[in-house]
Amino acid sequence: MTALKQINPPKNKIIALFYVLGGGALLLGITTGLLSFYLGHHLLYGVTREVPWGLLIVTYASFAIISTGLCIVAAIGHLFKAKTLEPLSQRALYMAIIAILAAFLAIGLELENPWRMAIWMVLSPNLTSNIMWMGLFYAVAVVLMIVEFVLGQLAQRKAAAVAAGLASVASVAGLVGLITDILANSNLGEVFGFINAKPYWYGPFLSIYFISNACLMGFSAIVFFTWAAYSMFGWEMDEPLQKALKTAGKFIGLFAALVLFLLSWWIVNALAGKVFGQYDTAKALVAGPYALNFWFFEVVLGILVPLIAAIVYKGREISAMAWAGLSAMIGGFINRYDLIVVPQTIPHYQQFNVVAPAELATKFYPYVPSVSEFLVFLGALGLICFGFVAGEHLFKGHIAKH
Amino acid sequence: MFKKFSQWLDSLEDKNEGVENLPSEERRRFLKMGLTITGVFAGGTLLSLVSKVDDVFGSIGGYSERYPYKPHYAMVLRVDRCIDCERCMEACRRTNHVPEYGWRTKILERHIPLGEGEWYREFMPILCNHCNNPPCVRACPTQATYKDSRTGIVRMDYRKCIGCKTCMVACPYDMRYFNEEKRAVDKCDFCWESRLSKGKKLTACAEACPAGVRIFGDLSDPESEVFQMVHSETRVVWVLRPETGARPNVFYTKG
Repeated sequence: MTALKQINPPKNKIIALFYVLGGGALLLGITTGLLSFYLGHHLLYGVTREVPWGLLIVTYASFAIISTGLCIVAAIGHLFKAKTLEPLSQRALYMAIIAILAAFLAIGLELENPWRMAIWMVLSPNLTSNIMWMGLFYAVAVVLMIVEFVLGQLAQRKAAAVAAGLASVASVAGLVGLITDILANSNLGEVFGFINAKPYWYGPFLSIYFISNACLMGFSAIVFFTWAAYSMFGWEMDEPLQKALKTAGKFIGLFAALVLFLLSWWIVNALAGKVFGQYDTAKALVAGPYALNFWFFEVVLGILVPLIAAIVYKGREISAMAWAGLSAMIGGFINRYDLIVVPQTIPHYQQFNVVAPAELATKFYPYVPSVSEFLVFLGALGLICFGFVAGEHLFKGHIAKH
Repeated sequence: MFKKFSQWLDSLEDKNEGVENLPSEERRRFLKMGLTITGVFAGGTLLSLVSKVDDVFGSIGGYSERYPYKPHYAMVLRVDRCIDCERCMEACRRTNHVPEYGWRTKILERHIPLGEGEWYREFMPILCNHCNNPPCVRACPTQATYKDSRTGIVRMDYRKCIGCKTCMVACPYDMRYFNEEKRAVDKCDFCWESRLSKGKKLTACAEACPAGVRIFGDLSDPESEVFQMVHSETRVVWVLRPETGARPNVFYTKG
């Protein structure tokens, strides 16, 4: 049995800030989203006919990818009994649930008629649609993750014999949950990968890219949130937890290297092949209007900082790896933004020497997130901040008692 | 630094002549050649479909024996006849109650390069291509958009639309918009609801066109004008963005 040891006074002001700012942002985001249904998305959101997927789809994809990554981290310890990583499993599972709920919040407020989804995805599902499968698998995965988490909590409060039974049921829920989560994530990749109208997306690459990113995000998030919890609440990290975090730190480096490998070939391929849409997108990223996003956020913050930190500190410096993890998550978010938005900004008829009408003859379709979109994004982020500190309070540091 | 990098990338691009810079005389020569060896440069998009019926079926390949729909609605656009009077757009707007912020059909003005500093103007009408392999239909999670099993028209069941806008992203032709009044994505339905289902034979745009640009009809009927144009051995016919595999039922030609 493990217990938390208080070695520093909790940083109550920071904890309160997480509650107030997180909760406030959540309320503001939900209010803005609800207002958009009443007034019309077209008045409040910056998306257009030509760029219909904006910041909120980016938010959804980013948080869903983080959730899948955390689910994988939780499974490595919980299900596959990798003892070293087991101390991270409880928090990883909890945060995976919070992250997917934040993703659902963003897409729920982005869809024009989410209530019709509940009816028509049941009565009239399109079996060839990746959106349909992604929605189904994520819905099943979140239920199974909650079942696994609740049973895990109950098991800790029961006698050993009962606890063993509950834990084995939780493991089954966890395993099926993991499989459905990965299926959901790969369908999320193929939502884009199947769209041959956007050659930059088209192909099986995106599902591979998304799952690789999920692993990077999962390890980054768990190192950051565990370190943040222990720093904020003033707890002492015991030996197994420190070892787990150091191992997770190394995985951050490993997956940052993998993502660097994948992104490099993606960009080189698109630039060299000169296929319409692929080339234009890659050029807009490396030497066009999105170059700052690409080089500074995606490459430096998203990949190089975590990679170099993992090499320099060999994953052992936990606070440095936590900041590197945060850097990876920020860079990862901008990567998702560029990945989703930029291919849509390439005009459909660019090859046709079109000079009019002006909105179709432009070099890039414009898209700037609106204030309302930004507020809804903050709402989803607020849910993660609020859920994180509430989880630490409610589940007392996510310490496994058996 | 990015600017220099951009210029370097541009310099790489310049080494490739590209099809869009071919002068029109060369194009004509190439087109003539195409009649025998099959191939044409169509305004930046390469497509091979001339001379033989099987090749004409470049976009509807596999259906040369039997069309999957009866009638199989299609449109042929004679682009060199278009004068950009926009009567088609107006007729569409009026007939199908298209709001100010949206459109179902549009006319693009192109400046096609002839040589150094020279170009000629061409107007190219665009509308839903009612593809045989419609990417929008595959992507829709609730079958709110579907391929009509009788006519092949890509239609909308507005009450099923959840507003995810995947169909808008998936369309290679930018042919869909979100209609706030219907709370659903809206698009051209070849005037099925407003005219064809009520016994009329032509779409509003085809009827309104004073220059005979838009030829609408049944591609499965050998007597129809669209059949004869698309199957003509001497006429150059092309579709837009054939590389997407959507296999459109809107064809382009000249003359």
